[in-house]
Amino acid sequence: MFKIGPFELESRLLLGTGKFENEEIQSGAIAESGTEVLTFAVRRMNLYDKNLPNPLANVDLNDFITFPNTAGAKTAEEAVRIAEIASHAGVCDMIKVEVIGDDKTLLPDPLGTYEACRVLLKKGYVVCPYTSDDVVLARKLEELGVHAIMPLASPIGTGRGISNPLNMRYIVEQANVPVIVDAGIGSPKDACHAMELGADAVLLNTAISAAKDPVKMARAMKLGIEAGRLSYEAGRIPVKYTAQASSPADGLGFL
Amino acid sequence: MECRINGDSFAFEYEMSIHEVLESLELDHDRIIVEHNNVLIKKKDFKEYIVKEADRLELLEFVGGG
Repeated sequence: MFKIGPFELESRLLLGTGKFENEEIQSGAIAESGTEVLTFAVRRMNLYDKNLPNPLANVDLNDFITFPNTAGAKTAEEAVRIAEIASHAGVCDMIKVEVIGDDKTLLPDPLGTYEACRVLLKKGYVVCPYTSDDVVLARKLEELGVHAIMPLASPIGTGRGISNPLNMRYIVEQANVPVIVDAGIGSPKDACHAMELGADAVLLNTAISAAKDPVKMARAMKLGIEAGRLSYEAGRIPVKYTAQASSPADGLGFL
Repeated sequence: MECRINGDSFAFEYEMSIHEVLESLELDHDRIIVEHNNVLIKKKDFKEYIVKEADRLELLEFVGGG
């Protein structure tokens, strides 16, 4: 169990709801993942083609801790506006603050993110910023009062895994709030890696929704995350440069 | 009456409530989040607020995202 603000969570997998092919696959993946937290976005309704599928429309958000994102925001003001819209609609238990600072890499704007967090904390939100894997920024955001830090593994949707495990470790070691690795996870190996580094949870989307079999991948991710967490708690052996025999060196006189 | 909805111009024969605008556009009231001239409107108030000439409506919803 771990806590984000007032919310106690058993599952360490937070799930984004983007890019699922249809409602059935999405519902199956949500169920298999065991997640208690769903992330989603705010957009204009399509007024002209009402038949466009929206798999999220049939998910009962009341069954989950709602974790809307501010994706699409490029300024602190835009992020705050999206948060206010989600809050007004009654589905904003926690807000994922995402202020993009670069269109090509989709890397977050640290200054805009910090400012959005400052405003939203003042308004009483449970604030979880999506950040680069910057150790100092993570510390400053924690000092500001955010409820969790969400450093990226790699740029959004790249599936490259953890680009900088050293920074991730530094962030985990200094943090007194949960660290949720967000973005860039490709496979359960990456999710397990994040958890072995001591992350409290992982937020996944594309790695599940764009897998060949998203429902099966949701389960694989759940198991990867559980394995990584157990490994972290169990304490892995140190990495050594030279071989260390597993079998006794004595008692070989019969050879 | 002409107003802007989601950035596009829409013409209606007369001023009408937000509720009526949504009806005329055949939109699902349950899913929708309405901003009227930058003010978020609660669902229970959709019948109270009248959309007037040159008003701006944003009709928003939650979609999949991560």
